[in-house]
Amino acid sequence: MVRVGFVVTRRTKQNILMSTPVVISGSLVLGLLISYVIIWITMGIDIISFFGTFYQTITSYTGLLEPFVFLAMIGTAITIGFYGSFWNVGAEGQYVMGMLGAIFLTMFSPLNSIFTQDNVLLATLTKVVVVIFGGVLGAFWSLIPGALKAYAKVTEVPVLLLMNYIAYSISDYLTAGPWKGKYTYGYIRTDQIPESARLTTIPGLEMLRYEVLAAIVLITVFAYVLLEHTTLGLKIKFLGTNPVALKSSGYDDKVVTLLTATLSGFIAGLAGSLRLLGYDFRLPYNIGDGKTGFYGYTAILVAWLSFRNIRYVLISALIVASLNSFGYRMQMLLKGLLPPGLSAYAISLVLIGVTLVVYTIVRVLKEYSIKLVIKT
Amino acid sequence: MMEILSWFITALAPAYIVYTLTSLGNLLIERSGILNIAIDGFFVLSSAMSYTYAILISQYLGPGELPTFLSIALTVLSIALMYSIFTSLITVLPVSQGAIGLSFMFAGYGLGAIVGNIGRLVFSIHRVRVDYIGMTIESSVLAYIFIAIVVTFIHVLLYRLKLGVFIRAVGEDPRVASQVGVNVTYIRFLSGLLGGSLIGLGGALFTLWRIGGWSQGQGLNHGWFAYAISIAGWRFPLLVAPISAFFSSLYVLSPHLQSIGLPVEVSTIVPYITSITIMALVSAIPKRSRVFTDPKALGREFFREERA
Repeated sequence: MVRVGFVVTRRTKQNILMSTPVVISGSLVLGLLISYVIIWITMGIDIISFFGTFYQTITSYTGLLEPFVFLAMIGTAITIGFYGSFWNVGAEGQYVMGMLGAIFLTMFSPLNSIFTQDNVLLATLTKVVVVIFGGVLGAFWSLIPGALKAYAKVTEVPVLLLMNYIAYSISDYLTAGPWKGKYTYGYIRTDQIPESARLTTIPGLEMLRYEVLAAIVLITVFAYVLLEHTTLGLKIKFLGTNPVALKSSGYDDKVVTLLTATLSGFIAGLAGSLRLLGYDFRLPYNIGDGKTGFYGYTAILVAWLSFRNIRYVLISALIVASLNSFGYRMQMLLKGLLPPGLSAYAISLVLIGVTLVVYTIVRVLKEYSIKLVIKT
Repeated sequence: MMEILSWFITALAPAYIVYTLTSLGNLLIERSGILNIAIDGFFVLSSAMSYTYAILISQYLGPGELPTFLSIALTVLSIALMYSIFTSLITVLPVSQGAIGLSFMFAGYGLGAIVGNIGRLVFSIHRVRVDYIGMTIESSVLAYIFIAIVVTFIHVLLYRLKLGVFIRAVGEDPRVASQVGVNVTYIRFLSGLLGGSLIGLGGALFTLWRIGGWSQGQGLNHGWFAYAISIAGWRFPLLVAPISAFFSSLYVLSPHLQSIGLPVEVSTIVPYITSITIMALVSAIPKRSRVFTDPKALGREFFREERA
């Protein structure tokens, strides 16, 4: 009888071929190739237009800026969660909650009157409060699954995903009901926030705002310092790699889980409120229908590509931003070749999913060597 | 009263069979120690696949029962094969189960949209008619009988047969199991094959019976509902069946909450909130027997070190 088996051994020497940049770019190329094969089988798109579109996407960097900043912010949020084994797939919901918080404070709270006065300093200060309030709501939204994980031992992934849809529904309920706008040309959506509450565009870079730029720098530095230079960061890392050791050295792993969830949700919420103040200015109805750009989901890939390492978040955000825009460009340029109802996000999802699978496997090969053994 | 009851029985049957079969499939896979995060992606994919198969086969054979049956069978086969690849991959490679599950979930969502839209395209050109399964009392009764058979089969398989002992052993501690001579990869491959075919059947019936058509994004989250059911039923087949009945009636009835004055947004989140609450409550209840607890190896990487 022939027996087939695999022998998996841990690598003792680091293979130079398997260095981090090679692994990331290699799995990107391999992932693109496999996605191409899938798209070719199902839709018969030739290789030249596929890779030509990809080349066009990565060379037009101005279009990448906006997805890049948001993916980097939410990616950082999710990476902090990943460090502590909190698989924050609910960043999308936390992001929507941030948007809700921002529009609530600017439009439907007493703070609204500040934005109608001509006091620039006061308006700027209030904007900071508004952004932070969005973060707080995001943190609250992620605290619920965090608490369920810590105290009831419920796997957080389904809870977080279901919470995303609850956030969508809350937003839709408010947009169609209590917060429905007066000046919407018949659309169901809220009114726009006042001019003075909006963020300032950087001259020359139409898709960037000063405040967003400041936020991304602050968030990156904060996350780096937190994870590399503080005790809390060390505890979060321990929670992710060896929770038993954390417990036996006298710390409460439940509290650390809660803190990880809170921090992760807070940053995702910040991204949401910045998005609303800087780009969207209003909440649309049916927000779950792609109107968030699905950044909360796409950013999971950012966190994953970055090796659970905060240093690589920015570079992987750039890679993912190009993959994401690639899907949209494919749909725009190849309109005649694709089935008409197919959304651009579906193509992005295939690209993202396949690249993730390839990357996960290649990452195993970085640490382990695998041999096929056939015995007779 | 009889009318309402017979309406309820026929309306419940498609939902009940979909959620029960999917959660039983999930149960089988998770009992072998594999964290089935990919379930929603595979569910969306099988839902889209069955639609496209049905369109393509009906185009050649004409509408009827045979094409519908064939498309269900093909979907079951494809999803079972994909699932067995998924579970063996997780076993052979020491990879993070959460990560690879999430990746398969995303790929499933995307592939589902592409595959389903191909069916849509063919439909828009040729106007193919597909025979969806009707909401009749006969088909409902058949569904309930089928569920009873499958539940009994899974229960007997897991707790009375040698294969079930192997599956549970692999789920508790794959290293010990492999040391006493169980082929972990093979057992997980089998449980992926069986569980995957149940999930594929659930997804196919979701499209061809419960909904009767396909639109992009169909099936999203319904995989998670099934996941919640199997957790709420403590991954024990005889418990999953009644809990699934409760959940399914909730999903069938929740759209009707609008008629008593609830806004549509509120009535859509009722199933979500209930799922989360029940998962939390059930996980918090202390369990007396090992039969009901989570498989110990669930979500853990399996690395045998240097053994052939």
